[in-house]
Amino acid sequence: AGGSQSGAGAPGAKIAVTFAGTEGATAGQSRMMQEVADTLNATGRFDVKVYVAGALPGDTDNLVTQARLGVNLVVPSDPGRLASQFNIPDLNILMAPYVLTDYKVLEKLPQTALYKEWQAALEAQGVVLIADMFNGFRSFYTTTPVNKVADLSGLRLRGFGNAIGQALAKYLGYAQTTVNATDIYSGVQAKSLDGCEIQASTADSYRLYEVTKYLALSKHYMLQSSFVCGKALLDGMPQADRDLFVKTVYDAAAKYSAIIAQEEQGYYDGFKSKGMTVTEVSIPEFQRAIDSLYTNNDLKLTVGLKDRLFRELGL
Amino acid sequence: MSFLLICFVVFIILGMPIAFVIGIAGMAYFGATPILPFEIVVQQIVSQSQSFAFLAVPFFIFAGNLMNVSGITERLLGLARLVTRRMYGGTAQISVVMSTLMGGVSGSATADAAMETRILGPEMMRLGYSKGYICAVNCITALITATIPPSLGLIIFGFIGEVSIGRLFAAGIIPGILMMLFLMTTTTITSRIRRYDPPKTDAPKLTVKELLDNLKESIWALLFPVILIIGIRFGVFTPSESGAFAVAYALIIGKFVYKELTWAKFKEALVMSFKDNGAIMLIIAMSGPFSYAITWVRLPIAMSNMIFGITDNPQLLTLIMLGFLFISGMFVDSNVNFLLLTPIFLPMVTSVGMDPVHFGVLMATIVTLGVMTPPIGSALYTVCGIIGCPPEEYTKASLPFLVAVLLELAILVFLPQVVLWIPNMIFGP
Amino acid sequence: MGKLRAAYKFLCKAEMVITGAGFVLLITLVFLSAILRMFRISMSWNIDMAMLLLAWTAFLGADVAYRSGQLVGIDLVTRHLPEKLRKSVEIFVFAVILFALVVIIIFGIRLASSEWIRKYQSMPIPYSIVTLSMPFAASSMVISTILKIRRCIAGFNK
Ligand code: NA
Ligand code: NA
Repeated sequence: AGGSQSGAGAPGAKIAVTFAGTEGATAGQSRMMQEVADTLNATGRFDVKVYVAGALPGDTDNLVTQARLGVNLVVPSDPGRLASQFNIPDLNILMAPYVLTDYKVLEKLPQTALYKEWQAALEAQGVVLIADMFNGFRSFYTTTPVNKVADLSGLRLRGFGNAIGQALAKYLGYAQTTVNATDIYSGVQAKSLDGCEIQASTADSYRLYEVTKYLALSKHYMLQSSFVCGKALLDGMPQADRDLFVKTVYDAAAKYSAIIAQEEQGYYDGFKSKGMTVTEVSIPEFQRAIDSLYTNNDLKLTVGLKDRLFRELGL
Repeated sequence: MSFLLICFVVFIILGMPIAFVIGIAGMAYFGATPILPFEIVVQQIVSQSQSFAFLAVPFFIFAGNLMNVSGITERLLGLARLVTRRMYGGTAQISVVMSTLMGGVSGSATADAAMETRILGPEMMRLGYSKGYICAVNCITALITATIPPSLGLIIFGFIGEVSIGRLFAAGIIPGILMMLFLMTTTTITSRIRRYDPPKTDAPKLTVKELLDNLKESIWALLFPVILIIGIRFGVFTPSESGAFAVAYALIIGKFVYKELTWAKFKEALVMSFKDNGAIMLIIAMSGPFSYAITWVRLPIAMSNMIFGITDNPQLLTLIMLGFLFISGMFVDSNVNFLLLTPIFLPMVTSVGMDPVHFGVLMATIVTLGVMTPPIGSALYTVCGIIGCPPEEYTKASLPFLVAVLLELAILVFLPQVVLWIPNMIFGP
Repeated sequence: MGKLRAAYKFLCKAEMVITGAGFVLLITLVFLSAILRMFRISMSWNIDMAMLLLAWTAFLGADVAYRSGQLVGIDLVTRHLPEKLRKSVEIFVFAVILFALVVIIIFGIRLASSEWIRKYQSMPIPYSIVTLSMPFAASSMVISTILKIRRCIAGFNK
């Protein structure tokens, strides 16, 4: 069992590719992968399988490692995970609070020199970053009303345990707590947690509206699904198929970014109808509160990175 | 795939330890599949151990061992003897009741089975129960733990199937209590036939004074589950963390209340616990490459596709699925069954009008039962390992208990209102 | 020979002490993180650390259990074989286990070194440290297996 085999077999044989994600079958990310599979399979050139809901064993990072080792996988990871998995700290900026605040910038992002540098750094380690897709905003779901930053003070909230998550908790004043995602519901119900920060689709699938009655739309993280695959998989495809493959994933990512953004509003409406109080908090106030995160450079980003990113994005 | 199966069968017959059989069969598939590099074998072995929810297992094993060496178990057994001295299979009955109490504390059936085998096994052996029967009673009755909230199975099902975990928890209560009654009846009948632990006919009836006198001593042991339930209900710790508190409680009671816990006894319990934990964990970990292989070839999906189109009667379809899950649970790890089959089965049953919460409780129970059924089941090998019981003796003795569980589930398929009564009362219909 | 035996005894003892200490540390960590949460004190590396300790204590514990003969197989068939044949089968089974363990060690080290750069998201240490738990414990199991084979061979004609 060597690690260099690609999905392509004999000339004329179909190219086998497997998409593997951890989100549920109805999540935007999973539907996007299914659509890519259907499109590619219809060409007759590809044999694409899709595994969702963690059906293929292993968490996201393990799946990315498998792709890197030569398995014909395409995996939706995210910039924060890729940053720590491949030691590219600057990639964290794509997930850092209030840096990217509109999913439409993802259209321009791939053309920036910065993004191309990151892609090259990943490729040097054997993985190709094919496309970034918007995957929802994270906001605060709490048992007590949160109308302003001060209301978060002292709350025990479940959030990201990484450097970004710790810095966010520090500046917004809540106690960052790490419990298993599946323990959120029972933790809140049992009052060992006062809530969490999470994206709407996940809050909905965990039925958090049953236990957290307040949603503060702080939208502090703009989540992205970063579709990556092993370098060997792409290198093994004939050029025409490779172009078709990359373009199909890329186009579907753009299409589903818009769909997911639209559906997010639907989740908020659904939460209201299920009795949650959804508050439009002042985002500038939240942005000011975490400003020191960048002046103190808690994320250890390259100096001037944010300015360079914004310049290249034309913001 | 056939290479995997051949390795599996051959090495099982040759008597190889089960952890290595599963691991080597999985590796054989990787060897025969050029696209899958061997690094993934190790990755999958290690990643199987990376589950926070699993922590309840080593912790409750340790708590059980500590209770044994610090006099807590002795007090519980003293009380048990008193209460059950006029009952058939008295000590076995304790296992049933204890699992029901522990159900409110731990979500892990394997942990509960291991703890009770450690606690009750030696005593039951002294009273003349066969090894197979001891393992069967302690193992199968631990299934009550998986039904009464909090339960790992319900949490995982709710997560994958996007079904309300609160509702699932509430829905597990009545089936759990019902299961206790079914298993107590089975214990009475089987121990009467096998003449285990017969009631002492000359024993006087239990008086209130006698009971109160005993409670003075045993109250701390009885409070064990109560304090843990309070801790979870009031949010001091999560179900995954509850095991650490069980250990702390056992330490405090053993050291400061009963004053029987010494440094030597502590070390003895510690070594026993990490050996038990290692033995269980190695089986679970070694199943990683195996699970990966059968997922890679989509075996479970192909198998379940056969069910499509047989019937659209909701009860009949559910019965067929439960039967399928029972069989696949004999061979496949419970987490794998949840992960692979929930997304396939749940839409099928809801499309014919079955309530997802009702189905969830049944599915979580039967999938968890898989860890107790031969030839492959982590709970089975855990309890058999603890008292050195041949698995085939366990299998024979467990049959009546399996029948009781299957009977209860089959009845519940037709009684949705019994399962859904509490969740509808709490959350509204 | 005596020195070798003493070294082996020392290694066994060290393995027990390390596993026991790790197990106690694991419980203390989970216990403390729940208590700290009650007092609203943040702790973000508790889960990752607990998982790291769990892997190491579990796999080392598995070796201790293996060495003391606690890992059970189904001897339904082998138990009825003639003495010599049974012992030959036993040696064959241990040889297969030995081969599998060596494969695990080689590819475990390869995996760990190929992703040495990957850090835990919550702790500044390589993720490979958890990966190494398996090849490390497997090395220990190799010694245990060799000793089991030696014992089989020594007792073959008895
Ligand atoms: Na029991
Ligand atoms: Na339970």
